[in-house]
Amino acid sequence: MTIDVILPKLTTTMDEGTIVSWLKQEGDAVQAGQPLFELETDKVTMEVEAPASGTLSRILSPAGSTLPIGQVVAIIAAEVSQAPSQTAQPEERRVKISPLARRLAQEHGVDVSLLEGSGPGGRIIEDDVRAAIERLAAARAAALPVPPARPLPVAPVAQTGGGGRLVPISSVRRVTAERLAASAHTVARVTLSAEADASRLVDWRERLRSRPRREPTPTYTDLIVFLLARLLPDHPYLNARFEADAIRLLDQVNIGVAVDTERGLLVPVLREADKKDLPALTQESARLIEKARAGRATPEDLCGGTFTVTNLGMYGVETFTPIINLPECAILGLGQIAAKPAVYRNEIVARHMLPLSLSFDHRLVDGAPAARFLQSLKDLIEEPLLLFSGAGSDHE
Amino acid sequence: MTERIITYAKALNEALREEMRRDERVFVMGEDIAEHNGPFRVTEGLFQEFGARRVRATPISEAAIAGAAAGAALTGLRPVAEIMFIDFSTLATDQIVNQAAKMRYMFGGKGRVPVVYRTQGGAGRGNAAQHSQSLEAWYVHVPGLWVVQPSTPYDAKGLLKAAIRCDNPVVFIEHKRLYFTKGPVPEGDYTLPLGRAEVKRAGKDVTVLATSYMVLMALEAAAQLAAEGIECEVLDPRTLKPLDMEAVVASVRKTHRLVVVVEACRTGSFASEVAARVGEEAFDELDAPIQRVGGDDVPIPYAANLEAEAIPQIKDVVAAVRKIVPPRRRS
Repeated sequence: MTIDVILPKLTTTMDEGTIVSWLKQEGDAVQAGQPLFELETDKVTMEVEAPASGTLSRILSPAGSTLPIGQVVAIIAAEVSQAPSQTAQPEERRVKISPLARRLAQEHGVDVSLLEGSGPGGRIIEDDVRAAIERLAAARAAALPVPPARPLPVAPVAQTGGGGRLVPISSVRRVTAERLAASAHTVARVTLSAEADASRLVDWRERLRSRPRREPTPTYTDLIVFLLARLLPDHPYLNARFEADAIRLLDQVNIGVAVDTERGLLVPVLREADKKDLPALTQESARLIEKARAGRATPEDLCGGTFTVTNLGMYGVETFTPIINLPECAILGLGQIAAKPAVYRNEIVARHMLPLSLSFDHRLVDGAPAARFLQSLKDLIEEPLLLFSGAGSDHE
Repeated sequence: MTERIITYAKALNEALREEMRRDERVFVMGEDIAEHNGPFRVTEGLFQEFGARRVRATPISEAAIAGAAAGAALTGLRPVAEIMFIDFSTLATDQIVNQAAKMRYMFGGKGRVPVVYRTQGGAGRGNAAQHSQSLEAWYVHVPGLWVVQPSTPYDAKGLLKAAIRCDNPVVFIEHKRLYFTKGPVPEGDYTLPLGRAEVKRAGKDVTVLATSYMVLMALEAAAQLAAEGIECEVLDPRTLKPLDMEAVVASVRKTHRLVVVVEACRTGSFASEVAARVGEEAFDELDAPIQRVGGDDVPIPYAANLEAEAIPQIKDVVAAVRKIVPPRRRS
């Protein structure tokens, strides 16, 4: 009996994937559940497990191929458990699934043709459907009603000269392209900029850094995320998303942090950032960023954001116009913190200035409330102790 | 009531004695059951206590035993007739199947047949092909008969007393390898409801429904499987007919997997019946194909090694469970 190995759907937004490498060669013995190949999709690389035990008889799609989900990429000659089949397998394939698994799948709207069975002979069993339901639930909670993600228009531009080289579009690049194009085409984006005196922030971080080393020192991004997460509940329209007929004001504050990786731009999400204390937040962000850079981010790490922060300060950038990470309403760009002459207590002195660029979707929120948010944030950066005076956070 | 550890045979003996003391219409009849005390000592001491009128030794004539008992029951007595080996109930099937099972129905309820046919079956004692069969499915097939198969001394006593008090003919099938197994049994009167299954061991991963001696095998298999993290629920129907489907479905609903274990040849066995009914009534609960563990379709061999090969062993139950319980992937 032969078992088809199909390209699985790993995330809700995935419609194709690239086989990065095969971990087994043709003719190798494989065990059900053993990693079989590495698949790059949307923004992550994951190992796909063998659906059945047996011999990897054919690899149909070599490493490097980009294929739609559901595509048969290899064939496993399964261990013959009992009666050998009398005739060759008919070509039309029936999904092998237990009655319980089928019923569960129907009840929860799981497409069983996309599942891989872990039961005997590759049968889809309850565990497989439950796992899919969990993945779906996580993805739904993260709800990505992204405006129609139309395929990237890669119409060939008239030749402007020979030569050059063609670079295949990785799936990270493709998703980035689709998302940002959708954002640019649908959002009424406005960017406000302001400059905050971040001297106290710098001082704060220096003090944290000079402590006897127990906990990692937060980055400036961590400190800003910490502050703005506490501010967002007071500014519900900036922690919101646009849905079909309504604006959803979100209860959770999940801050995405844009990270530049070798494979492209990734945005791991710090869940419930408003409920985490600074050490926890610092640790969590270090962990997520490290994972993202190492190419080990999971779909769960990358979804569910409600607001994004992007920091270009390390490149000397001051203000810029960040593109909103749909379906979120706003994104905050951080520029370089630099010592500049500034008026402080009626004197011109050197202060550490931090340029802030807030892009928001004018469809959801007007300019004045967005400006008030930016102002509150600026105040909080200039005097973090305001956190404890209740100013800027009267939501409790 | 105090509880003692006594044998299955002794528990049956107590049931007979107590019922005969309680109700003078109850009497026993069969081969070698009087002065000889019965081949497995189930009727020990009854002849001495109740005398020849109520403890009747019969010739070797199963048809006569079964027919006389059915007739006595129709007249208002409550006979307990013993057919020494279920293999020879073949000679009595006309009386059991065509007479005892049909009377109440054919006379519009005007006649009742409160007879108990006690008999024993099963292999494992080197009794060869004609004295080792498990023929319970034959009687399960006949409307009008109730079929009981106790697996423990406690169940044996409580169910036999209930069978004697039942107004319908009951085929009460013991197992030759169970007679000298021991277990706790209360002193004095108690009955267990007919038609009620019992969970002998609770578990969440797979239901192992087993009958008679196979309950012991299933419990042993469950203990072995527990060591590898598989939790079996061992369910003993105790009454094969009427079958407690409510309990069967409830267990399958909990575990989503079913292995049915009987000693009889698999083909046409009671296991097939259970599998079919669960397929009909709980299809959507199943996460794996139902497995039957049963004897091979061969006459029981005399040679001990071949006999063991022909009937289910603990390892067969273990293998059937492993086949349908996925290796736990979640820690």
